[in-house]
Amino acid sequence: MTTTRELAQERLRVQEAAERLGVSRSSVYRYVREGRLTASRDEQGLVFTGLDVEILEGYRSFGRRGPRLYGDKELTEFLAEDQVELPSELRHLLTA
Amino acid sequence: MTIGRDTVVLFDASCLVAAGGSSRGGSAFVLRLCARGYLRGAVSRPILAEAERNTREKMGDLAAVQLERLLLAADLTRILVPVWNVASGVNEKDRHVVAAAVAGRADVILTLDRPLASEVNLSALATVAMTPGDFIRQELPTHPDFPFAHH
Repeated sequence: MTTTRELAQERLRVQEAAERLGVSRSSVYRYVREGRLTASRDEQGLVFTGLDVEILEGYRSFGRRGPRLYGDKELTEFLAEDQVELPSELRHLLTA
Repeated sequence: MTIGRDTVVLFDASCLVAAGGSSRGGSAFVLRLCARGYLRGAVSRPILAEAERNTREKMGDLAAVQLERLLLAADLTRILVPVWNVASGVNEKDRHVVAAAVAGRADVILTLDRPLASEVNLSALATVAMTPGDFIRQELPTHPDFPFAHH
């Protein structure tokens, strides 16, 4: 059962995250539902790690919602660029 | 540049995605060197998030598992990025990579994104950026342990 103290504690944590991100408390809850902000629960309600808030804050500074998704052409180019003919003296490391 | 066991190599997400997709590519190879202690690999949470999303959504489960195995073995240092938007001549989408490189004092940024590499190398940053292929061909032979003989 949730007590009023626990509810107040959770509200405080959500408020802190909201202020840090410059959004409303309801947006913080929405971010959690959408998986953009990771939250866990302890006996006093939702817990946000500072790092997760920081990451979301970083994306927001670029006007983005989260990690960008590569286009197919871009991904194909990356994979092609990664194909390397190793010098023969290094090939033994491939099987390690 | 001369490299060695203390050289800090920051992996861009493009390299991690490619490593998940191909265990015989240059990125996976450099990750293996980190796993053996020949280099000090590094990454940031935002880079990992980008790599994990693209590997899972664009490459599939097998690639995601392959990447996870490589990351576990390589045991990369996680760099905390206090400020994402470092002033530099680097495009906005990649500034968090440069911020991680600065925060982690990386010697090298490994990336498959050649435009990003050019931007970093034209900037005043102390870090250089290059593809895994260029790193293997040009820098690895300067490593004192090269050619990394069998143990």
